[in-house]
Amino acid sequence: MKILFAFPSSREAAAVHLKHPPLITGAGERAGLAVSERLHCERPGLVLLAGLAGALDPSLRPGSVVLCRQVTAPGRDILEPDRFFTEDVRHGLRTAGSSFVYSKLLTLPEPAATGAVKLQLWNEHGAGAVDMETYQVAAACAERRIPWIAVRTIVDTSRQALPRALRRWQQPGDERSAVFSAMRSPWEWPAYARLGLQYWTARKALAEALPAVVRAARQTRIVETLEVL
Amino acid sequence: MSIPVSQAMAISSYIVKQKLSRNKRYPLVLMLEPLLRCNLECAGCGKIQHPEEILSTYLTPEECWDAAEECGAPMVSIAGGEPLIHPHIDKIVEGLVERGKFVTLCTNAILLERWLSKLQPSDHFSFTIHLDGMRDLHDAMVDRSGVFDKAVAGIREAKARGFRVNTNTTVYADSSTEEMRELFNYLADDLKTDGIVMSPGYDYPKAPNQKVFMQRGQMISKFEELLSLPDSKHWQFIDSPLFLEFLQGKVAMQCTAWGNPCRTVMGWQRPCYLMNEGYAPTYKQLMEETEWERYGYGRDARCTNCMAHCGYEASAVEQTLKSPVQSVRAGVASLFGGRS
Ligand code: SF4
Ligand code: SF4
Repeated sequence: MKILFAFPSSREAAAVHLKHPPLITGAGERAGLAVSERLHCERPGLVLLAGLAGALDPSLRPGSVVLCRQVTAPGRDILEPDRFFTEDVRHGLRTAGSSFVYSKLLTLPEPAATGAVKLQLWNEHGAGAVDMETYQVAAACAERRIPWIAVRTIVDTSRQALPRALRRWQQPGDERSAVFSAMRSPWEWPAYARLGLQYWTARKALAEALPAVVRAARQTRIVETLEVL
Repeated sequence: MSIPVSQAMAISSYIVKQKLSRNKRYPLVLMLEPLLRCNLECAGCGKIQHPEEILSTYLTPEECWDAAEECGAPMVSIAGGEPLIHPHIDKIVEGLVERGKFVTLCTNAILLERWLSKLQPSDHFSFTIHLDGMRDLHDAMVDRSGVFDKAVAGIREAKARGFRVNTNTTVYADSSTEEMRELFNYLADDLKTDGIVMSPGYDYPKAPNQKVFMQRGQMISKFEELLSLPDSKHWQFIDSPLFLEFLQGKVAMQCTAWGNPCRTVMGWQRPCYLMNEGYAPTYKQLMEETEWERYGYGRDARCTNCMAHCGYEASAVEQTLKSPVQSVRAGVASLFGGRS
């Protein structure tokens, strides 16, 4: 059985070393389209979406690992990852002593920018973390009846406001304008520096968690996936 | 004063010790259920639906004291069932107080007057009397008339004998803001109780009446409305200021059920007082073998509509300790009552 590894951006993908190039989905609706297109050409046994996220759950810290229990988006239904794969991975991670939480994800069209917004989203959706891709990827997989699971690691905490330029972030291509904007607002440099450190913590956590996810599955049904790592 | 100074000091020093010892998870309140039998059948109760052989099982005083020592929490909340049905409840309380625990006995007060002469007032002991509303609402919620009057008589008598008396109000879908306002004013101004504990009902799947429960959003709106009333400033809540803000959706908190471990007649209940996923034979096993990260808002569907003390008061304490401003607010509120 083959696993299709999907990451929102090449930066997130670069956190781990894969034998075969993963699918880079982009964010928002594009992520769903990218997965749909790929699933049109091939039929993997599992889609594993991995990437970074912002915390809504106040107990999560930069680098916390979230294994997706459900995903929702404003005004949409709840989608669930493949129960058997998720259970296997959850059990395996726990047996291996890896620290993670098993929680709901919320997918939004733009980053959750401030502590107040995150609090309101937490109260309303009860999602542990927020991202910009999981729902669309899950919907694309569901449409083709391909099992999926998702793993995210936390960059920003639930109380943390993002620097202004990042609040309009939509795609990896927006990086350049964010850098220019950051240069024009030196008062936000400490916030960028903090976020930069958290980003590396989250990326490192992703690099550690992903092989553990696959290792956790070693004893189960996705043995073959080791070949692609 | 909302809680005695000695209690505030003892609990603060206990928490500081836990922090200095870098204990990630520590018990704050032992939820002790020496029996599950009750003399009422409240609409929102999920404790009394056990088979007869379990309802007939009572923890002995020794088992209760062992549980308190094994877990080490500085506070013990004796609940149930109805603890005053237990034939040795006076001994249980006495032994816990002797062990330096701050004990509160949660009761519907039907049997209270019978026990008052056998219990000793102490700064380590209080009653927490169940009152979900004024006469009509309370008697409807407990499904028996006359219980409100009995509870009020019990409160007056206990106060007259020098006991500390708090009340515990579970807020349900049918509890209107006006009814809650009337109740809390009555408790503060007429009965002059020592403190109010307030919590939303947990949607026990086995409770006799499922219509009484609220969704999380409804809870938040209800508490926001209630606590924005000017009268609320003089209600002496035992709940911490941060917990009250959490109830109003103003702060985010995640469940820390390990802070309120629950010992029942069947063992140490996993993961909490409200939800039952089996029993650990020892407290150590409960703490070490329970997958705590699996529970809480967003993590388990059964936690979606839970904003109860047993999950979130320890979280409030943890969060309070992280903020000097919150620590001062909590200190002022616990010593002088009211909402700062
Ligand atoms: S809520 Fe308390 S008083 Fe009411 S039935 Fe349950 S245990 Fe008895
Ligand atoms: S949120 Fe915590 S206290 Fe509430 S039901 Fe879940 S585990 Fe129990």
